Amino acid sequence: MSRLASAPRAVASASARASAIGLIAADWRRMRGTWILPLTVLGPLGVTLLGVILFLLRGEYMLKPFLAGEVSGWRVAIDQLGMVHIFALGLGAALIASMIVDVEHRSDIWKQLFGMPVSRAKTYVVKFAWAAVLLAVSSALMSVGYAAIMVWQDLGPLPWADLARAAWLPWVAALPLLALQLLLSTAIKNQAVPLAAGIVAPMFGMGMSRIPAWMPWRLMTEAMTSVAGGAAAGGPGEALTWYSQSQVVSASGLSILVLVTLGAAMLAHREIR
Amino acid sequence: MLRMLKVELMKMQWWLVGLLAIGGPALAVLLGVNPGAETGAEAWKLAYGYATVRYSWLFYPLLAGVFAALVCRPEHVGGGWKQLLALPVSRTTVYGAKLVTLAGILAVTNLAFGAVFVAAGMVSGLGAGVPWSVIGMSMLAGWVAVLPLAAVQLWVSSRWKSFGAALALNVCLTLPAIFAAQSHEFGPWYPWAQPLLAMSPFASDQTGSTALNVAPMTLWVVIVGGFVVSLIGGLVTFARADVRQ
Repeated sequence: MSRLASAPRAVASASARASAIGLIAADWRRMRGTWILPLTVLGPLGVTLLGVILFLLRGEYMLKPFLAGEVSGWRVAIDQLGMVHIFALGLGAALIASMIVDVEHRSDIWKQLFGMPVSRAKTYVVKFAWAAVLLAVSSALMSVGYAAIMVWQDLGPLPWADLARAAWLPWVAALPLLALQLLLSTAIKNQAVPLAAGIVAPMFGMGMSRIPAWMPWRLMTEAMTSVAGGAAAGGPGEALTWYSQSQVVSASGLSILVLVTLGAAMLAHREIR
Repeated sequence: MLRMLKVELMKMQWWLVGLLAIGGPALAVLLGVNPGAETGAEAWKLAYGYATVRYSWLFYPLLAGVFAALVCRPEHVGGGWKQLLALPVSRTTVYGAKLVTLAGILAVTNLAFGAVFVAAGMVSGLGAGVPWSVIGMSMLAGWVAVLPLAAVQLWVSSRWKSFGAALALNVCLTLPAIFAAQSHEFGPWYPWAQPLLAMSPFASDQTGSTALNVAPMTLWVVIVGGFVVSLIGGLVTFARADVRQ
């Protein structure tokens, strides 16, 4: 008897699993033809190239404190690129969030998609997960870029722990901004609005901004400061709050939870015309 | 041309343009307001220097891209290009009207930046000695310097449907500006660094130039030359484009 009763439930859960995988695969197919994937690779490559040009131009000057033994090779690399790194990550989050829902907005795929038996909330969460994965790839490639610069410039043995932290901590700190941008990009059809909000982000991280440190725009600067082990990413006169690693992670986790839930609920209750 | 311009102006989403053109510069200024600091002409100049870095390195060039995409949006949505170009207007006129609209909006944005800065400076107590000529020249020079960038963005935005793709290109070209601006060899040559360089209140001290804050070579080759090249490129592309929707 109990076996009979549980059978439909088993079928239901199997189809739910299939649909989750289906959603993930569907997003991948829709993404393949767009600029998102090249951008994920080109972004970090661009920042690394910038570092290469910088060392070619002003290498002697930049290497002086390292050669004198005052700072580590790692600090030389991250001091130069840290700020551009987080700005690229922040702007990249806005771009990925916009591009990942662009197809749905432009061809009114929302209507067709939700005419099918798929969960709206799940669709939203899958999109966020995809965007987060793409940003993670970018962030990991950034660390590869740092490592490449350090090997090329002979900046001493590679600091594996620092490189790993530079890959994951700014990424975690960028996720709330990604969640916020995805919320805006999904809610508003005209992508000029969320993207305009996105290009404001670097202004907050550029120094002397007095917004609380837990807010998405500031959190990335805090993370980079923690990664660099000092005020590398700050601008002139910036008062840094010095968030620790665990503070960055918990602030980020809480913001993600709130923003993704909000976005999923909003998409679930929206009238699709 | 004038009628075409009028049509363009009618099509703009003014609430959004207004929000961006005034809200953005206001944010750039207000994030840096630092009351209780020193007063006088030097303090004004220093505060203006910080405000321009926040505003003209990333925000202003990127905003030019957003506005370029916004100017093309009515046509990208719902097959507008086909309808517009089926009318007895030349494609050059259509493109020209869009570029003039774009340049006008960018001028207003820069004026808003100057106005908000002066107002914020007065309220936060920077005192007397507003460097009007420095701020005025900076606003004009910044606007001229952003025009080639705007022309490039209009070029791609008139062809690409996706806001994201056009902005991605813009971001990739604008991020290196801060490094280019710091370099004496590359700074004068990199177009995306010019708004930042030209708007700095210390620009004329460095370049020794009184004409739009940049060296004459930069002005004519990089800014004017860049503008002409991207304008012609955009026009040719637009005139030959196969419009399907």
